[in-house]
Amino acid sequence: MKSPWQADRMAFVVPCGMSAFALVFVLLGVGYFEYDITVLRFPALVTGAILILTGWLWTGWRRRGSVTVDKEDLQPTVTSLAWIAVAIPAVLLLGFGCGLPLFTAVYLRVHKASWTLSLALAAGVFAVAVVLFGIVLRVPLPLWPLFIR
Amino acid sequence: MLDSLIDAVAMIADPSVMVIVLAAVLLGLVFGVLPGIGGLTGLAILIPHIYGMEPIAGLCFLMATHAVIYTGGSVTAILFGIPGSVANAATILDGHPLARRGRAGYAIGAALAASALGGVVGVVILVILIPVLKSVVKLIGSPETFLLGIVGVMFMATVGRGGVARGLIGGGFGMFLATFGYQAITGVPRYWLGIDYLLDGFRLVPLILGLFAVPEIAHLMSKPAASARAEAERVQAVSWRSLMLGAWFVVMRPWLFLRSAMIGAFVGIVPGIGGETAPFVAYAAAKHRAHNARRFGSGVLAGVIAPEASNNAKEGGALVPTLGFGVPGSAAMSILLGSFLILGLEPGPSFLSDHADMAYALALTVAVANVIGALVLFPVAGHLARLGRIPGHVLGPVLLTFILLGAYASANNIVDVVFVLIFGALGSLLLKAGISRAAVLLGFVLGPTVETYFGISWNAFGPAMFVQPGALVILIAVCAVAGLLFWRRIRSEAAE
Repeated sequence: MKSPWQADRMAFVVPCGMSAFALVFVLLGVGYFEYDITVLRFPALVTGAILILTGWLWTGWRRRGSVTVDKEDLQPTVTSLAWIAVAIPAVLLLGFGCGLPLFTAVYLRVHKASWTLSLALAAGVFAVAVVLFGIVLRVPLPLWPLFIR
Repeated sequence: MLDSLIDAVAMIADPSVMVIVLAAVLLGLVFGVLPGIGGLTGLAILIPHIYGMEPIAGLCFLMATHAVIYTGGSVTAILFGIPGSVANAATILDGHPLARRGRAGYAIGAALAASALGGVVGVVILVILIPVLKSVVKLIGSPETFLLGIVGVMFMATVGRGGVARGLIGGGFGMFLATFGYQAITGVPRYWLGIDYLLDGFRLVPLILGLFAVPEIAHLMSKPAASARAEAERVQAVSWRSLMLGAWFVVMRPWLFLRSAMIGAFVGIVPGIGGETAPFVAYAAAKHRAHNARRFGSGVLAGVIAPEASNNAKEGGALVPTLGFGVPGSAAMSILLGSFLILGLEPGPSFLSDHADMAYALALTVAVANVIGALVLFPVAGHLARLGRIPGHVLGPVLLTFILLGAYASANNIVDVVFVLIFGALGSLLLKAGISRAAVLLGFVLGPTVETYFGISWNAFGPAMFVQPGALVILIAVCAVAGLLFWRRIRSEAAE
């Protein structure tokens, strides 16, 4: 089944989203944060340029009818990003020493890797976090779960 | 000058210094290969280790590490589309498509040869021009720096595959992201929304990893195991022959290589801008002069040679303001400046006159380290490339481990890890929409510099900032290049 998000629509929606993001913050700067002109001058100039360019793009698309972009379906990428998103709370809650190996093992098992490969890679990930980054490079990583730190 | 050069050769020929340089090269290559541990983080990690070293040994140690980080980063940029640093992002544009088409060996060979030779050319230019450039750098004031920053982003916008307008939107958006946090001129924290992390604005390392690494990892992880294995078998064959042919291609395109290396060396001289901009400018120049410009971005060797030659040559250029004026030519050079103070040296005009031998020794170290780095990577590249044969669903979590660890290690802040995901989602959207991620990155990197120098210039000159002599020269040059490109486009459209 095709994803409801189509590539052509993405090529239009994303620049509009970027323009809207910048415009909202500039308006917040004027109305809510009440920044001085010196503070707002540069973001406002940049936002103005982005808006003009987005408008120009829009007229171009209307004239040509379509644009050349990657037509690949978004669904697999969204699923992978969701998996990557799972790794973040795992690291935040369980630390790099436990969260990352656990994520690796679970991800591999779900994707039908053998127990041996899953556990070996989880052990490798643990070694990279603890030995390479923790001991050799002396990075003060939060290695262990939140409740025993 | 000759006496100083001879003294410099004697300094780095000392066995103890050579051993230190060799160790530094190996460390630099490891830092370069690990995503997230770029030049800045690598130097920051190593700087505590130079306490107690002889000044020349300590400086050569840091300089050699820094010189080859971009060489190491080019391998992961080509194989996995994951840049080790900002400078390597330009290599991805054509290097990674080449790897996906089964030509990783050619791309790596060309990248290593261009890196090694580019580093040497950069140093030669530095040695020749040190006396002359002192006066040239003094001519680059605030309006010129502002305009050079804008030109850098515009150059990048013209090389994306999605068209100039989308590239410019990307560059502008990158600049807008850079406005979060304390404003340099007034010290007012902008758009921080009550979140302490945002007081310093968005961070560079999570942005790089998010924009470039996460979409690639998501792509790897999204392939079904069987198709990923088939693609990997096709893609990642790296033979000695392909490496050598890639390297030979650099020799066969001397003008492309020399032009890119010279762009790197000269753009690298501009304080605060050159370091990160040079590879993008060299890439844009190569694309605009190529007869097959439309194929750039789909996997062209010239698109690998140009950024790689310039990103190692720029280190020679960046040393000019760093050593000569105490003004860092790039972000990493600011750490190098700190190491001068740790070792009891004072960079600035007096450094070049009092320690000219040391300045030349540093320059020679860059050249030697670049050559050794490439020689070390040639036999290892094939083994590294075999990593690409591992199915995506197995390699993905391992790469993700390095990304998240690298993101945390850059500032020891767990929130950076969260922002890797946020910027990763943004990177995926940009990719799907055909907006140049490199333009967003360059806009973000140059944004603070552009804003600061715009503010200074406006306060000093008002609208007359655009008619200062240096600024006028830049504007005329930009208009001439834009006019030429427009004319060529009209001619090619007419021909079609």
